[in-house]
Amino acid sequence: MARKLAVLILMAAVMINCTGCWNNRDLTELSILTALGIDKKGDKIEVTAQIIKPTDVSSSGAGSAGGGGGKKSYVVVSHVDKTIFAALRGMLSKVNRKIFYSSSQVIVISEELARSGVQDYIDFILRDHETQFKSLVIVAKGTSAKEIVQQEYELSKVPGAFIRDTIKNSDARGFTKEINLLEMARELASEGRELSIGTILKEDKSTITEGLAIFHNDKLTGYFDKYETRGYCFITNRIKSSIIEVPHNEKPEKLIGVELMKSSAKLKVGLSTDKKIEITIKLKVSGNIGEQQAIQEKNILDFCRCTRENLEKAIKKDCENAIKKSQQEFKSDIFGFGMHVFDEYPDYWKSVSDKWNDDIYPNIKVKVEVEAKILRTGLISKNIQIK
Amino acid sequence: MKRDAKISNYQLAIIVIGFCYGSTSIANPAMAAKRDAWLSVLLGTLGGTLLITLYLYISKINNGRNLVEILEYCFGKIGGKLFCIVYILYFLYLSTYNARTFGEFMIAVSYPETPMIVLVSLLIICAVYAARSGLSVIGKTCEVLVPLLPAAVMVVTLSLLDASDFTGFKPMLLEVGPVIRSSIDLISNVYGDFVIFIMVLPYTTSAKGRFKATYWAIAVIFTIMFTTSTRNIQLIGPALTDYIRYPSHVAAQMIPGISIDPLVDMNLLIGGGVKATLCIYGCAKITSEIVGIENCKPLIAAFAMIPIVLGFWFFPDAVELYHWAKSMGDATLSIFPQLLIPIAILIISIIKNRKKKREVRKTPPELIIG
Repeated sequence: MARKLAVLILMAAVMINCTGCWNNRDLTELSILTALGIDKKGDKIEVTAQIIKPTDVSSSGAGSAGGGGGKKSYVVVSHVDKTIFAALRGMLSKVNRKIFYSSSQVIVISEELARSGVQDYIDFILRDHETQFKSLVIVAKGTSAKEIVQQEYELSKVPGAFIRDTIKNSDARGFTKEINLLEMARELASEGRELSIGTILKEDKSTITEGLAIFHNDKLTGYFDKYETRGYCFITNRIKSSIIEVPHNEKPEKLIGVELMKSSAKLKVGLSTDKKIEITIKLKVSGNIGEQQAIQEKNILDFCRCTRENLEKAIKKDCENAIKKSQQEFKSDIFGFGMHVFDEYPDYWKSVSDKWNDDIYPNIKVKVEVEAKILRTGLISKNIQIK
Repeated sequence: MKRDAKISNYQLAIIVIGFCYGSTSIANPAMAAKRDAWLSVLLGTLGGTLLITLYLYISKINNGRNLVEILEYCFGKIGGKLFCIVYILYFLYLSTYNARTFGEFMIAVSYPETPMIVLVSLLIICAVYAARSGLSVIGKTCEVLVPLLPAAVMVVTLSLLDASDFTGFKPMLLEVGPVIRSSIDLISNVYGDFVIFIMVLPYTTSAKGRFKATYWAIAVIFTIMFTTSTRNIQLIGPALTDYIRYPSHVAAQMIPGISIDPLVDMNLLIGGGVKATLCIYGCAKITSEIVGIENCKPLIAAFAMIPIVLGFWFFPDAVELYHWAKSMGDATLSIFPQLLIPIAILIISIIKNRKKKREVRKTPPELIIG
């Protein structure tokens, strides 16, 4: 009898204990966050949350990416406080359900906040167990984060997912950098590499995800345009595809669009006898001719050779412009050359690490060598000649 | 000394894998060596193999005696019992530290509002059930659960192959100190705890295969640790190792498309469970033998309560726990039961065995027959 009683008590105890976690919250009790904007308001922080209205999203049957139009399926709530954590908690005075951060697709940082330094603001996002290290980060160029988070898109009912997808499209363009929270923290903490984050710009009824925000330590110092960003992506092996427009050899006003299929960069660091760092970047790219504006007069082999040479020049120009700007204008080693110097010459690195960005990096010699290949010319052999 | 075999050598290997992996699944001590973590794993495993060989050899030359009998054989009845108490305390510490780490991890990453006592108690309840059922049940349970550990590690690692950044490995051995330190930590945290198996080894089916089974287990543990530490360094980089508390959890979180961080939590549950089970079993078994109780079952639940209470007493908050984990406290505390006593046992056993052999040789053959 006593044994049976003990078993019953144990069963009851197990049942009570196994009802789930203490802070278990049903989906219907949560506000699903899809995008988070962080702005600076004087000496305070304004946090803007984009919260999905689940019923409106599901009623369209569109899921996260499609089915725009109709009424808004999200609400945007902002709150100002001294810390991000307090601001987020403060939102509960405006939203009835607890905010679920794990679903945040993108974190938008305003230009003003980025210029004042991101160190104080990244801590909460990294520390909190609900935020995800794989949330993407982007800088709102020339506008506030709130404006970006508020932006409505005709193609999607979930703007956060829309922005995330446009950032991820950088794979096919190379005009911006996809960076998540973990990578951001890694770039901030690593010696010999400065932080750079992709940028988003506001247009009339949409946004453009292009360009790169360059940081020195944790402060924004300037921007790369889309071509310089592509140069950055080439050097750091971040590019998977892109359309590179090269001039026609005989008629430079006409263009040839080359679709990049493969790109790989190798970096070599050398130290000259007078203790000067020389960096050689060897780029191997291959692509297909995707579009040709002018009539091709040469034979196909000569045409491909000329296009290949022009492609090499175009890529080299993108890379050199990016390097030059980072050296002379921003004095910020976003490419991580310092890390490679540390790899090869740790003793030398120790002696220059303190003055690397300000004194050494702007003066190092960087050589870019590009080896391009044209693989195919598409379904037609040459441009159609109008008779 | 012939004993009833309770587990096969294969089961022994599986238990060793679960037991040793239990301590490293969430916070691998090798990570303190940053870019040289893989080297630290290698050195730690080499040192650990030597230490485990010492334990295996002690068990071998003591001819089927378990830890209590070996201690009594070497240090006499009273001395042996005193050393037995040292081991009871040490195994209690191990289960306390293990259960507390488990609770802390669960609260930090998944259940911030769940009372710690509930999480720790749940782990201990499972451990008590397994320990009460005896070695053969522990062996069979491990056969089912432990293969999930390498499988989970493989799933996470393969899913992250694309996200790897190999810039974090060079230059090698820039600082030797952290590598040595984390290797020692690894030996003490992972391999040194094998000392508890001196209690289990006599119950395996054949003495011959014990060495082989254990070395296979070490090879598997090495592969798992090597894979996880190199993967984590690639993913979070050497600079962030100081900041990120649970790199493996972060690694699982980074898998694109899906959230499989519970896979890492599952690893801890299995590994931590095996470790807690064996420690509690060890304590109860040693106590029952030194006080002369035939069945150790009734003692298991009593011993299981102690780690729950001690956990809150030793480590009242997470900061204390992290501080202890980062200090060399664990390694220092372990020197006595993991290294010094076993070395003393080895020397005394060899001397005593030689003496015995000499006595046997001196005794006339007819007397032996008689």
